Amino acid sequence: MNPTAFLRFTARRVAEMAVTLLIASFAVFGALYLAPGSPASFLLAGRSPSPEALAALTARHHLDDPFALRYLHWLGDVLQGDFGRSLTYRTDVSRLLADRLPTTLLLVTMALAVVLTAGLVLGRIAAVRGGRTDAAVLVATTLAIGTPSFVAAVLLQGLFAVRLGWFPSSGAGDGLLDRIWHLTLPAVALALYLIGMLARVTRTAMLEALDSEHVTVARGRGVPEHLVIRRHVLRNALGTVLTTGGLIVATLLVCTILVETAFSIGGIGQLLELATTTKDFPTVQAVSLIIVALFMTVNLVVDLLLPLVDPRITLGTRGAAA
Amino acid sequence: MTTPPALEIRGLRLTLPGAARPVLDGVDLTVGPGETVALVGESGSGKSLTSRGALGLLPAGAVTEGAVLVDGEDVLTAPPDRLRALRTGRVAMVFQDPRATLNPLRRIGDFLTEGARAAGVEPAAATDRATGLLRAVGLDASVLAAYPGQVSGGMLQRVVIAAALMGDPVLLLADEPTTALDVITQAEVIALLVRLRESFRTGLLFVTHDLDLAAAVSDRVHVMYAGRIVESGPAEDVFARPLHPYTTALLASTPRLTAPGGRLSAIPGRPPDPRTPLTGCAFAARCPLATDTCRETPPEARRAPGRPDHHAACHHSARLADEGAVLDV
Amino acid sequence: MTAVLTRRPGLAKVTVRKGGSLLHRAALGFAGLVVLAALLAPWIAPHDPNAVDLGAALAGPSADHPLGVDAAGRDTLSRLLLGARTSLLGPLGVVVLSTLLGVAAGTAAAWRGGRLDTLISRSTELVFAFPGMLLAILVVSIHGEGLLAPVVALGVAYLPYVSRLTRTLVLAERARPYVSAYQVQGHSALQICLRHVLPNIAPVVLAQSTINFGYALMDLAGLSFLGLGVPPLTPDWGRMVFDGQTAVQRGYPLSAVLPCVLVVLTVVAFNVAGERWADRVARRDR
Repeated sequence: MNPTAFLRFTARRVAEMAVTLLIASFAVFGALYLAPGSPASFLLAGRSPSPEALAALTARHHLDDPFALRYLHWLGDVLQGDFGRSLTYRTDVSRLLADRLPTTLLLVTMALAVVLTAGLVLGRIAAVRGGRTDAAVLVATTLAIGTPSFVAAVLLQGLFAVRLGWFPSSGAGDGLLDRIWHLTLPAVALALYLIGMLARVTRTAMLEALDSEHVTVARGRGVPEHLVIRRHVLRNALGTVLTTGGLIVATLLVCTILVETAFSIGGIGQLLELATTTKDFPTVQAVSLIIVALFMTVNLVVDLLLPLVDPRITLGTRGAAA
Repeated sequence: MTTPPALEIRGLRLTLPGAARPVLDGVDLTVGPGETVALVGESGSGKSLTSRGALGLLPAGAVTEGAVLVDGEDVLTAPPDRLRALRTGRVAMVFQDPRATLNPLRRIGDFLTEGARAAGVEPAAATDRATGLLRAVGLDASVLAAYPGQVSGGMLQRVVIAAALMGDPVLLLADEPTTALDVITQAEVIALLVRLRESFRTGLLFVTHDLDLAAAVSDRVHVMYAGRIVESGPAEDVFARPLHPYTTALLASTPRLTAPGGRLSAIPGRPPDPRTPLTGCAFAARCPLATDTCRETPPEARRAPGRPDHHAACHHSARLADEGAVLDV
Repeated sequence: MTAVLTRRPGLAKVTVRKGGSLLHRAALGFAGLVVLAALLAPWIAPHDPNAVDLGAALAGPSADHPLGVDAAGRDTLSRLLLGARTSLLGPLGVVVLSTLLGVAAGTAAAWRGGRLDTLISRSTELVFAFPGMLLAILVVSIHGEGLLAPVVALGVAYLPYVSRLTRTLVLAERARPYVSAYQVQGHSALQICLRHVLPNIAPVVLAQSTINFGYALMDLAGLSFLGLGVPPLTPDWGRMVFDGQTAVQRGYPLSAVLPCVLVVLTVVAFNVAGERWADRVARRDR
């Protein structure tokens, strides 16, 4: 591939993403002013502050400035990693995020690993073996796709944590191994729906690839079947699977709110849930922005990887949002 | 001990699930070492199935009878590893559409050496051989690193031919190798195939619907209709003095500049539906000579008087032989 | 340009086998049963869903409480039956809202083209950047709990799927000769759209909306599970899982497991029915 073309494409996609992020940040910021009542009273959410505290709040959010200036102030702070102060926790939101983001990222990474292994393996055996295996995988994935992650979380918790006692029923644990042990059930709960989805995407893409002439040709040239599957079927299904990457990560990030709440795991998902119920708006803004930014970053990475996986895709043929 | 024929098909009958009659019905065909045999017929006549059968590539659910011997070994009964060894070495195929033949996501070099590497050849040696063969088909080593999407269809078909020669096959199957190409490229590819067949002494089964092409390249011709071989013999005999009305009709429907009167006649009707059983001669419904015998009794292949290699399966081949090649359909 | 329904990825090419029609009938039957239960709930529920009998809290199934009692002493069967109402009404609202707005936006974008089209397409891309559930949480954080805010938020989040599909379909429909024939005869654009174009594209759009129904049910149940959906006392399946979760941790899973099972079966039923419909519509179009 032409490196300059790739660089130009990357630059364009990064710029596009920056614009979308900017608009998203504006929406997240502006949402505050859609709320009934004055911003100050909304931010205080029924708490009765001392006059000094009110003055601090007004100064902090530049509530005396015009709207556009307020947004620019806020944006400037956000770009420097300052998301304001949490009213519930009485600390900087960035501190809260720094404490909780690693847990969420570990959980999401574990779930992603489960999704990729189980989804690809199930999709592959369904496509290659066909018959009863295929039918069984179809039934299982139909059920998985109908199971919201919070349902999976509660059911897994009831069975494996409470009834069988194999795993802890809540908390995130300390130390890496303990954390992994604590996060195993949540990761599976988070992964279940996506395993079903990915297995089906893989199956469909592989069946399509299996149908192509070059697979027959490879067999007719004496290439062993496992290599035919790996090099000509799985390899060709990879592009389609990759395009679901953004959706997979977005779903993981959103569903982590449910799963962290179900398992009382102190990650940013649970933080968002707590912040919403306690009307801690700066925290809600920060977590929402982080989720949107992570999601868009993954989409960007997928867009940049696609031409590397599939030489037929010329740069930029895929739309900006998918 | 004599060398076995490159390909010997004996009484091949192939039935697909859901079909009322075999899609291949008693096909007999031989390709001697270094010989070129053309298999001619309309689309759907079973000629592609026959050539793919020689590779052991059968449609899912196919039931076969008869024998398909490649270099003396039956591909229909060979265990999987023997079959794979056969495919990496003694038999290779050039497919119709080079764009579909190559995996678009893998480099051309991968495609060329894939079979050899599967057979245990060292990658470096395989690449050396591929480079040599690319030169033999008029390409240079730079295409090794290219993706199929980056080169022309004609170049790709040369790549496919080079790939087919990687295992030094005794039998090369060419299934309409030029249909997907433009006219000039077609001529180049045919010239290349003919030249390579001579220098590599490979038996060639050339599947085509183009009679002129068949006449130009082949030593012997088999004409296929509805899964049966209706006429076979030396190319010049079959084309100059056809003994089956279908061959006659095919010849009459082929456009050529030198044809007397320049008139073209299409064959009326369509090939029989594979979902209906056949009684009698498969061509009877479209044949101008058809009689009740044709509709009731399937004709046996019979040797033409005075031409021991020329066979036709027609109740009326004697009449055709008397009247000569001109038959108004 | 081909119109592609936004399905759950991978569901598209599920081949319908012999067992397929049986599954499809079972799905339709179950969906019908749930709808019927929701409609008749006030008359067939054995107890008041909010009547508290603390003495019977966490009791197992009995003649009086066929599906047991939850931690607050409320009859599970009655809550499940009445919960069917909110659990179905929410997604219905999302689907109706997103379908109406989406069809309007998509038709306008396709018919008028130009700047309006660009504007609508750009806004669509922006909404895609916000996962539906996140948008709903953001709105709830401003407007407080209740069913209306999340339904509107999800309706907006689902709108792009419908508008994008509609836009493609209308563009294809507009290119067909009958449209110019009507234009020549002096019919107004609105007339042609309402009388001819929309009826022609309706089956595909409705199949998409049926598929969206399953998504919306999952999202809304999730919000209720977070305590951000329906108000506390309203019977709702997601809320019941939320209420029953502490009981699960104490070893009494029934009051939470039953709504879980209902959510899964209902979503599966609507998925299967919607996909089947989409397949049929797709086959007819080809």
